[in-house]
This record gives sequence, structure tokens and C-alpha cells, in this order.
Amino acid sequence: MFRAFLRTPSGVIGLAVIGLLVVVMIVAPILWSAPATDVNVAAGGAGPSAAHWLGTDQLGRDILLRVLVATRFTIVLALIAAGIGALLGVLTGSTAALLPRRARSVALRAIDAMLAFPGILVAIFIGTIIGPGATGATIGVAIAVSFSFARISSTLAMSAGGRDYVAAGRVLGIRPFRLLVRHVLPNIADTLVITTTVVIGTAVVDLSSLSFLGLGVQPPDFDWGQMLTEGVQVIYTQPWAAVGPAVAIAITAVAFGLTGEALARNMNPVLWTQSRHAAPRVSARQARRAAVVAAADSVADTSPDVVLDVRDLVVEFPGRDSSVRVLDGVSFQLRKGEFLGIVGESGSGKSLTALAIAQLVPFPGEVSGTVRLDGQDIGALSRRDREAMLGTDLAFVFQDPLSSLNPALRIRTQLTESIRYHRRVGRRSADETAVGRLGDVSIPAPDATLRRHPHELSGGMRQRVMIAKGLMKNPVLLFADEPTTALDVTIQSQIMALLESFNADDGMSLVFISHNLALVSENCARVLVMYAGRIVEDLTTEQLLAAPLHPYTTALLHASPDITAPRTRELTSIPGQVPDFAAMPPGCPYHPRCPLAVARCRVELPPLAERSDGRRVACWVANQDLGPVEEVTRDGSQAPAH
Amino acid sequence: MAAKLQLTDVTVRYGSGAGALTAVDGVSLTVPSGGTVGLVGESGCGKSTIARAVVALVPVASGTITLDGVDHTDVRKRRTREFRRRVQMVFQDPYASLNPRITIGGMLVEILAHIRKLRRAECRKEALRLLDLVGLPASALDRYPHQFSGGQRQRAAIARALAVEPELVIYDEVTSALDVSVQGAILNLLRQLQSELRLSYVFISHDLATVRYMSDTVSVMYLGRVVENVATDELFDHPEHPYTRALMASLPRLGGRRRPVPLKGDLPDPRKPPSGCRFHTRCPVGPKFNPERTVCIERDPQKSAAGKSHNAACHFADAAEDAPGEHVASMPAPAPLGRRKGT
Repeated sequence: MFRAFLRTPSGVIGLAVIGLLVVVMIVAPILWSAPATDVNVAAGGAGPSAAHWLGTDQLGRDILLRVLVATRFTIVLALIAAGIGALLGVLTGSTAALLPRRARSVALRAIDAMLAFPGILVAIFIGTIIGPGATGATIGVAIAVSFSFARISSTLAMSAGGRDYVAAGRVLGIRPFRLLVRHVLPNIADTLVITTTVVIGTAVVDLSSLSFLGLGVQPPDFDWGQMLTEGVQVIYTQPWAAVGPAVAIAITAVAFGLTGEALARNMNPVLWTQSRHAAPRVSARQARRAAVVAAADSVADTSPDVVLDVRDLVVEFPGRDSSVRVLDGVSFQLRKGEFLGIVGESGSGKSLTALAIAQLVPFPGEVSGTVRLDGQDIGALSRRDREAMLGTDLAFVFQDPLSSLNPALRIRTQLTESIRYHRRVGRRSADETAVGRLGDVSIPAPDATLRRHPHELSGGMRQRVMIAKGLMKNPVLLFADEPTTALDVTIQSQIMALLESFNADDGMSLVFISHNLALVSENCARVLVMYAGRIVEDLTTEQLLAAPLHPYTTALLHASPDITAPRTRELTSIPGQVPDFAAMPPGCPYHPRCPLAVARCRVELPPLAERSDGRRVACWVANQDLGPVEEVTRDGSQAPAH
Repeated sequence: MAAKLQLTDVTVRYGSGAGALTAVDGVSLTVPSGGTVGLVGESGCGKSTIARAVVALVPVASGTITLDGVDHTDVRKRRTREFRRRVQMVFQDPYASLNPRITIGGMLVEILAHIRKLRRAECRKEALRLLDLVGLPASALDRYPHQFSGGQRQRAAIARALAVEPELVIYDEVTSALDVSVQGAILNLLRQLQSELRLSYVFISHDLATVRYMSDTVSVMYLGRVVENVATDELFDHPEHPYTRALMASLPRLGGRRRPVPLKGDLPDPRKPPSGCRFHTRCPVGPKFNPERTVCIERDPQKSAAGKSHNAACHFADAAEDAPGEHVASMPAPAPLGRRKGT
């Protein structure tokens, strides 16, 4: 963990500065106490010189040495203030979170009210009551920072306390105190640690401010704030006197902030155990690249009713050592009115294929390949034209309608914004279209629904609104990514019927992404089976049900729940797991799980080869009747396979 | 078989006043010793609430709960270490139910040391035995949850529940968050564990196929109530309640053809359940399509359900004209159905 911490630059810098500060805290008062406090009025008010780098103050004391000597006092006070504040805050905050509902909301409101006051005002108020001096200032700052600790820890404790693993702990009979200490606090600790370190930084600033105002440290003691006061009085004649302590305050605050951030990042085991994966092998990647070209060329014909033509679609994300290819040479065509299913396990690239086509791959992913929509190469379009085309010809329906609708906007705004923007449709006519579309998706009282917010609708209604939103633009192609997975089966059949009706009326094409083979087989004529970012089989539903050729397709089919199979029979599953993209096995990515794998599968990636019955399969064993498969290199010349 | 767990007329309420929600309304269940009761129904029907009520994560408003014939209705009796050790629960989402900061070994050892009071040396041996039991390698001991796939995490969650040597385990949608490719293996494991350890199960899922595979008897729930309760084969061969039939007709099947939509409309707001039969607003054989059947709006079929065939809570469940499947075919579809294209 510590090594990982040291790998982050902010951690290194922060820790180095704090280390330096600690050395100064220990050493400076021992070495320079005398020159920093000895009065020598004759040498007072001097500017920077070789002897006094920051000059001297009115009483002739070296300012640099005073700044260094004051480090101990300033930071110790800040640590005490932050420590007391954290303890007070975490105690009140987590206690508040554990209170019964009503008492809890009162306590939380009280904390909120206290937070509304600027911290420095609270510190000044309390400091004044206790009386000027280091003690009063420290307690004042401690109380001022405790409110933010209380707020953060109550919110965190409430959310962490609601997690399933805490519920599981309760069901197991683990005692509440143990649950808090072992299961709740560690999961909120990173946020508390970063808050604490940042607060140490702000406590330095706050305490200095109090001293600056004359409420904090009193002469003859001195901290940076007090030195700042003295420096500001002579700022026109002797600017260095103020700059010294000011820079010290700033550096300290930043150092603690950086360290806190790095600490928070590295306390989480999820983050520091992830970096151990091996980088993908270059040779395997090169083999894949060659095979991809072969696959892309095997779908060469372009007929006029092709709505979508995808060639060699690749998505790469930058990895630790080299980039990680999460979508690898996906090529397919979609005809007008066709319902195409994409199936595969999670992480197979189903959703990413749709996102890549729509240029929606999240940063820092990089997309390459050719996408033709209605015959138009969208890569060749200007950015503006491409956005207009994707914005109107394509529509998306996602799994969770609640998170894909904006909770703050009325349904009206969400439905009409895209045609008003892309098609410059007027408000009234956009509203008319919206009412019509809501009617099309069987929403009762469309007028009233337009004025509603998403949370006022049921899950099925929201998904229908999402579909209506997609249909506002009369898209030629709808991507539905697990559109019914969050819905119940009775609502699922309504949504599927709805999608089919638009296909019948407008000839809309559909790419239906689902993990549910039965649902796909009922609704789609053709199916792409994906595995580890590649298409492994492209076949008709009839072929899928009769005799799939790829062993992965067969395995998926057998794993699909069957309500008519004898109940005593053991269920089938696919042994092993989907490979990690950062450590892809050489050869066919499925070979570690494949019952049919032969030697060749372990070394060489099978290309997606087209067969005489029109299906495409990427499997050495399934395609062995085709004879030796030949590789095609990038420049188009043929090279024999090894 | 003697009843391991018995719920009688259990009601669970969330909140109070106008916003009160009766999530479970007078539900009775009998879990036989060594057997499995399946609970199936759509989201919001109250099936998970029953699970949480049994393990005292939510309070019960009325009704009785007995374990091996001994009354445990009082929530304090279900919060004892003794009850906790006998009744366990496995949650839906293995990504949320494992503490990300603790290794699988640390998680198991905590339970073994603090709840089973084993000595340090024994803890490790027992943890390894548990991992082996659920099909995880010994190397899992020192690894964190995020280093596992969903299916492996769910195995770890099962090992955690088994660590206290329970008699009854409640599984709440344990395969819903998993890929189809691993669901089968988890369900096989649960069946194997049941016969090896003689466990009693409550198996909760919205998925008919998995409930069918796991359960000896099935209770179908709708809006907080059990509408049909019968032996699994009987339920799937001859569903009697119109809601059960609609559920089965909605289920997509491999190689199936699109059929008319069996149920129109959404689930009603559970805060304001419909009068009489709660299903009457959507029922394909109810007053919506047969206006003379006003009894469905006026009288609650729940009261006369016990003792009926399949304990079906329906005034017309055994009426001859509603033979299975028929009502589905005769129902008007909400949207025009297009023909299949693009072949």
C-alpha cells in the first residue's frame, strides 16, 4: 500500500514537504531560538541581505529564522485543533446517524445550521468568548471544523450503514460496535482521512487568521499568523516580512491537501490491487489485428437496403503499460427493418459496440473503424454534420430508464429538446409531436404526462417515455440496450410488442442488446454472439436454435433457463470466467473455457469466417471443414496461415 | 415433514399515516424441514420484505413467526445470537453484500472467531473447508472481493452464511445480478448444499425458471399478498390464478414466437392497493373484460383462498371457461403487433 502511495506524484510531493516541515519543527527551535528572539533594535527593519535572507523585523530579528522557528508552534496548534475537531465531529456525526429517525433529522438539521456559518466566524466568536490566546483560538478552530466533520461522517455513516454487507453482518449476529468499527468506519475512512488532512491545512490558515486579527497567539509567543500581522504593518517598506509567513502558510496547506488526496486514493484496496495485471502480449495482439482484417473483408457487399455498415470497429482504452483493446474488429451489417440481437456475457462488448457506433465511448477510450449509416461514412462528415446525423437517425433506449432520464427536467423538455435543437422545430409543433409519440407508446393522458417529472412515473412508463423520446426523431435505427432487464416480465412483453409495432409501421431497424437468449430468439431474426470484445458467431435465430457452430454459442444456449426441462436435471453453466482485457490469453480468447479447444486455439486467433449458409463463425474447430483459413495482411495481399 | 419455519398472517408496514405502505399483507408460509419454499412475483410485491422481516431487518406489524414450532414473533427473540445462527440470508447483489475492505478470509475468520468462538488455528482450517464447500480455491482466502467475478463473489457470500452452520437459509434473488452463464452453477451448488447439509430454504426470485428448479412448493405473490400456493409441478403444469398464468405467458421461451401481450397496464401504486381483489385492475378474466364480475371489485378473495385448490385467491380461479392459456389468446393486445421482418 505504501509503495503504491509513493507512486502517486501528489503523494510524493505532499509527503516530502510534510517531512521537511517535521524536520524544521524539530530542528529549528533548537538551533535558532536565540537569533529568532534576540532583540537588536539597531539592525531592525533591514531588507534582504546575505546574512538575513528575508531581512529583519522592527526589533532586528531574522524573519526567515522566525518563520522556521514558528513552524513547530503553528503546526502543533493546527494538529491539535484538527484532531479535536475531527474527534468531536465524527462522534456527533456518527451518533446522529444512529439515532431514531425523528431525532436524527433534528440533529442533522442542527448540524446543517451550524455549517451555514463561515468557519472562521465561529472560530472568532468562540475565540473571543474564551479570550485571546493560543488556547482560545485552538478550541475555536476545533469547534468550527468539527461541524464539517459531523456533516460528512453522518452522511457517510448513514450510507455505509445501509449497505448489504452491514445487513449481512447484523443477520450473522455481529455486535453493533464491531459492525461500526470493522464494517462501517473503514469504508468511510478514506473520506475522513482526506478531510482531516485538508482540515489540518485549513486549520493552519484559520489559526493564522485569528492571530492576524489579534485573537490568537499573543506576543512574545509567535506563530505565522502573528508574524503576518507584523509584516502587513510594514508591507510597503518591507514586503518580505509578510511574504515569508504567507508562503509558509500556503505551502503547508497545499502539502496537507496533496497528502490527504494521495492517502485517500491508496487506502482503498480496490485501487491498489488493480495495478498488478500483466500487460497484453504484443504477439497475440498482432495476430488479432491480422485476423481482424480478414474478418472485415469477408463482409464486402453493400446493397442499398443496408442501414448500418460497421467495419473493423475497434475501441481501445489506455492501460498502464499499453492500451487495452476492449472491442476488437467488430464488423456487421444491418438491413432496413431488421431486428438484430447482440448477446454475450457482461463485458463481452455488447453495449460498447452500440456506444462506439454512436461515438459515445467514454473518455479516454479511442474508437477506430468505419461506420456507414444510411450509406454515409460518418467518419468522413464534419463534426457538426456527424452530430446532426447521429442525433436524428439513431436513438437509444438503455436498461435503467430512471438514470437515463434527467430527474430535474419535465418530460416535455426531455422529449422535445433534440428535435428543437437538431431540426429547429418550433415549440408548439414539437409539443404536438411529443403528444403523438406518447400516445404511440400507449401512455394514457399524454398532455398531463408532458408536465410530469420522471419520478412521478412507474418503471414501465419511464421506459415507454424513453422509447417515445427515441422515436421523436423518426430514427432509422434504434439501439435498445437491455431495455427490459429492470422491468417485470409482464411489462417486458408490453415493451417488446411496442418495439415491434414501430418496426412494422415505419420499417425502423432495431439492435437489441440482451443477455436473455430466449427474449432475443422471440424478437430477433438474426443474432450476433459476442465474447471478449469480438463477434464469435453471426447467425440467424433458426440456426441458433437448431445447431449453433461456435462452442460458446452452444454453451450460452445450454445455460439459458428452460422452464420445460425436467426439474431433477442439473443446470448447465459455462465453467471459468470471461478473460480480463488486460491479460487476454493468446490464441482464441475462449479457449481456456472451451471443451473443444485444440492446440491451434491456444496460439492463434481464429478469424470470423463466412460459411456457405451465410453465417460467420470464429472458431478453428467449427471451421475445420472449410480447409486452411488464410490470413490477409493489411495491404490486402494474402499470406498463408501458420 | 415438520415445519422448520412457519409464518402465519404476517403483515409488514413501512412508514405511517398517509404515506404508509403495507408491503406484506397477511402472508402465511410453511417451510418444511429440509425443503424449499419458492417465492415468486414482480418487483414491489413484497417477497424481499418477507425475507428481511424473518431475519429481523424490518419489524413485523402483525402475525406470528415460529421456528421449529417455537414462537419467535417477538423481534427480540429473532435478534438473539441463537436465532441468528440458525437462520441466515444471502443477498441479491454480491457486489454490495461483501465488504470491499476485507479479504474473503478475513470475513470468514471474523465470523468463526467471534460468533462460533473457534480458536485462531481452527478458524483458518474451517475457513478453508467453507471455501471448498462452495467451490472456491484456497487462494481466495487472501483476496479482496473485487478480485473475483460475480459468481465467485456470490459463492463467498454463501460461504459466509454457512459459516454459522444455519438450519434455514433465505436466498433473496441470489442469481439476478449474475450472468446466465454462471447462474446454473450457483443453483446447482445450492441444491447440492441443501442435500449435504440438510438445510431448509426460502428461495426468492422474480425468475420463474430458477424458482421452479429450486422449490418444492411455490407461493406466487402480487402486491403484498400470496395469490397462489401449491407444489411446484402442479403450479407450472396447471396454474390456476389468472396472475400466475399471465406471468407464465409473459415468459420468453427459446424458439418461442411473439404472443399477444398477456397483461395490460402497470402495477398499481402499492400505497393505494385496489379494492376487493388487488389484481382486478389488470386481470384478463376480471371486471375489465367481464363487466358483470363486480364481485372482484367488492369482495376480497383472500379470505376464502385457504383450502381452495392451489389456495388460489381468485373468485373465478376454478371456473371452467378460464382453462389455462385460453384467456391469454382471447385478450385484446394493447398495441398493433407487427410481423417479424428482416429474415
